[in-house]
This record gives sequence, structure tokens and C-alpha cells, in this order.
Amino acid sequence: MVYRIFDAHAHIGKDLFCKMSAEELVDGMKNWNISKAVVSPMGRAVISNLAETNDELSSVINRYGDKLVGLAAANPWYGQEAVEEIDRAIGSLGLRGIKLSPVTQGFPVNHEIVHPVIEAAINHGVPVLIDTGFPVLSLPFQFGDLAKTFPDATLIMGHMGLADYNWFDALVVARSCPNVIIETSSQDCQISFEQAVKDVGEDRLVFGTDIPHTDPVVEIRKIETLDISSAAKSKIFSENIARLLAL
Amino acid sequence: MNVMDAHSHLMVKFLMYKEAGVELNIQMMDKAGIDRACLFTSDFLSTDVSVAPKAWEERMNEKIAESVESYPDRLVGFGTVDPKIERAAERLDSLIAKYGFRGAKFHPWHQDFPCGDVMHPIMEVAAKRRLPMMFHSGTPVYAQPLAIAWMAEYFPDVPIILAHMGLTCMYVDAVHAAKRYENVFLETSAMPYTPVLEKAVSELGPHKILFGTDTPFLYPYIEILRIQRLKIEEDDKEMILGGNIERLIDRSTP
Repeated sequence: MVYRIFDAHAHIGKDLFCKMSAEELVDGMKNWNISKAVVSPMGRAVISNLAETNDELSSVINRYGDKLVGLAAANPWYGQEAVEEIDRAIGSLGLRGIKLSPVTQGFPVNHEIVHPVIEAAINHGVPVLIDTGFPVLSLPFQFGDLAKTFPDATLIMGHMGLADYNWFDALVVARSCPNVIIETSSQDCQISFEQAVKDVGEDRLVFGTDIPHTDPVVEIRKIETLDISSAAKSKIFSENIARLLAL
Repeated sequence: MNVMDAHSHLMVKFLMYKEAGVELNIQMMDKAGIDRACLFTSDFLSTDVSVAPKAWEERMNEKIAESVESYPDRLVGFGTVDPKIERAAERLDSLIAKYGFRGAKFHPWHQDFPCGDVMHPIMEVAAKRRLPMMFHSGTPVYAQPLAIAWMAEYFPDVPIILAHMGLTCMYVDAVHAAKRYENVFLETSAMPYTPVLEKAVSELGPHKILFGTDTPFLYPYIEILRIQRLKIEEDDKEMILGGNIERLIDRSTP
């Protein structure tokens, strides 16, 4: 079975141990059979000069037509300035959602500092992708605490809690917060996805790679070989993210 | 190529996982093309109130020995003891003598111990028997890679293997530890960051990296695919996929 694959969690730019240009990403997508990628910046670019970062993201995305979709970088430390940048990035630049990186940007995901950003996302009707799985700053229950504070926000739980048994926590959170969507990248325990389909349904998982941090071929194989229906895989691979971002 | 998995578990009933016998391990190994695997328990502490911790420990080690006995060409047994129960070092010593285990696996947060003085008598046994010592790593607080690797200085003859090489969020510590100490090795299961793996191979040398799967919690055909696809030399891959762990096991003396 050949699935249409959209990557809900891709990056361009430079991070601590990897980098990727838009050209490399789009070239790679051909080999990996990924037809569309939701891209956000990473590393130093998401810490300061966010307007510059988002301008560059938007211009790169426009160069590749409908292959790439962008999530705006927003840094909660900037308060009202961050909100204005979100207004500009979503309203004028055509970016389709927001990406937060609690570890790179340095904030506890459930801290009040994040609230204006989430409120801005609600105002614009766009989802927020947030990395989870990092102790102290963004564990699933901390993410869940934020999700409970903002039931009207669509929050995508990047990495589904990542390592260890954090995915148990991710499921507890997703079961009680209908506004939480689970993203699959770098979650290595495939049983977690099968259980998620049982617990919260196949409409609330989105496939992601976290490229260039991971090998997309491996990330795809993890989902392809799950013991769930083909219909569920189609949803996870592209239909769910297409619905969320109106792609 | 001879493929050996440095990290697999015998599944007992654990939370939402179903109980399964050693046959599941063999099936999963076959599907992934794995010839041999180091086998550990997955139930480090008693989950049955009628079984005292020490008796439980004995029972879990016995199960590993039985499993290895039923597939001697496929499995290599690793034992474990609870470091908090007195005379843990003696128990490990006699376990090795009794069952011929070729290494030991510890899980600081499951077993609830900080890797400090409590481990030292056990490490002395490991030094005497040249046993590879595998530790779950990457979960704060008790399984910090550097807390485990700190022991390497006191026991330079003991191969210390950091399972999961820092488990994503603590990969920096794991790589630094393996760089600082000759006798610290990194095991690859649940490490999704291929650039980190490739960099570890080039910076530390391929002899420092051991392929592992964490079967059956994780699926070995995925874990091996990641290693097979790394952009590294084929010879290095061969060492990582089996040669390195074989060498560590061969030098241990049950």
C-alpha cells in the first residue's frame, strides 16, 4: 500500500548537531516519498530576531510552491512583541501555525509566559506544535497542564513525550484533553501508536520526522508497519494534518 | 555478517505490555535478521507481594538462565541484582558462577538506586570477572549518563555500557562520557538521532558503539534499519552490529 505522506514536523536551518537547507529537504522528500512538509526553523534562529527568521522561512517556502508549509517561530520570552510577530507571520507572511521549542528557547511549557502566544494561536485559528519529552521544561503532563488551560487551542504534542515511558503519560494527557494531537517523530516505541489509536482514535495522530534530526525512512517504516488499519495509516500519514492545517 | 543485539529483554507482564515467553524474542530476532542477543530481565523489582525481593531476583535470573538454555546459540544471559539488598556483590558473583552469565544489566531508576558507592562492591566483582556492565541511561535523576560513567575512573577494567546512549535528551553527556573514559561504551537502542550516531562513530571510533534493540519494548527491525542506513564505513557497521559486543563478552570469565 502506497500512502500519501505529509511530514508534520520538519526543520530547516541549523541545530546543535545537524543542519538542513530547504534545497536538501525538498530533494530528500523525493527519495522519501514525502509529498508535503510542515517546516519550522530551529536552533539559534528561534531565539532572537524572529522577524528575520520568519521572513526567511516564508520566502523559502514560497520558492517551493505547495511542497512546503511553514510554522512561524515564536519566542514566548518576547511577550507582546511575540504576539505582534505572530500576527504578522500568520496574517501577512502566510505561515500556517506556530512552533515552540521549550528547550532551545528556555521556558517551562506550562508557564504563564506562554499564554499570550497560545491566545494568539486561538485568535488566528492555527495549531501550535510543541516539542515534548524533555524533563523539567516540557514533559507530557506539563504540556497537558497548558492544554487544560487552553481547551480552545489545538496543541500538537511533538514526539509524543519522546523517551522512556513518557508515552504512557502522553496517552493519559491526550485522553483527558481533546484538543491535544499526538505527533510521532522520534518516538521509538511502536506499541505507543497502536495504543494511542485505541485510546484516543486515529484522528488525533499526525506523522512527523523531525528531519534532519532523524532518518525519515526509519520514521516512515515505524508507521507503515503498525498493526492498525490502512485507513488509520492514511489518516496518520497525511489526512489528519491536512485537516488541521487546511492543506 | 554476524549480527548481535547487545540489549534485549525477556518480557514479563508489565503495565500495558502482555506477558510473553522467549519465543517472542526469537521471532523478533528472526524477522530483523539478528543472530544472537544479550538477554536481560525486564522485571527488576518484585511485583508480587507474596514474593520477597531477594527471592524475586533469584526467580528472574533463573528465567534468564532457562531461556538461554533453550536457545544457547541465539541468546547470551545477563544477570542482575538489587544493589540495595545487602551482599548484592556476593549474589552477583554466585549468579555468574551458577548460570554462566556473561554480563550484568542494571536499571538505576527501576531498581531505585543512585550510581555511587552502592555500586562499588558490585563493580569489584565485575572487575574480577571482566564482566560488561550495562546500565539504562538518560533518565534523570538516577540514570544520568555521567553519574554512571563516573565509576569508569575507579574501575578502568570494567566495560561500562550506557544503554540508549543517553536516551535522546541526554546524548551530550553520554558522548562526552564515552570520549573521556576508555571503558565507557554506548548502546544504540531508542536513539533516533542519526547525525548523533554518525558523529559518535567518527569522534569516538566505531569500537565504542554497540548495536542494541531493547526488544520487545521496541521493534528490532526498526532499530537495525537505522544502523544499516548510517552513512559510515561498512567495516565500522560490522563492528557496531556485532563485533564490539562479541569482543566484550568473549573477555568475560563466568
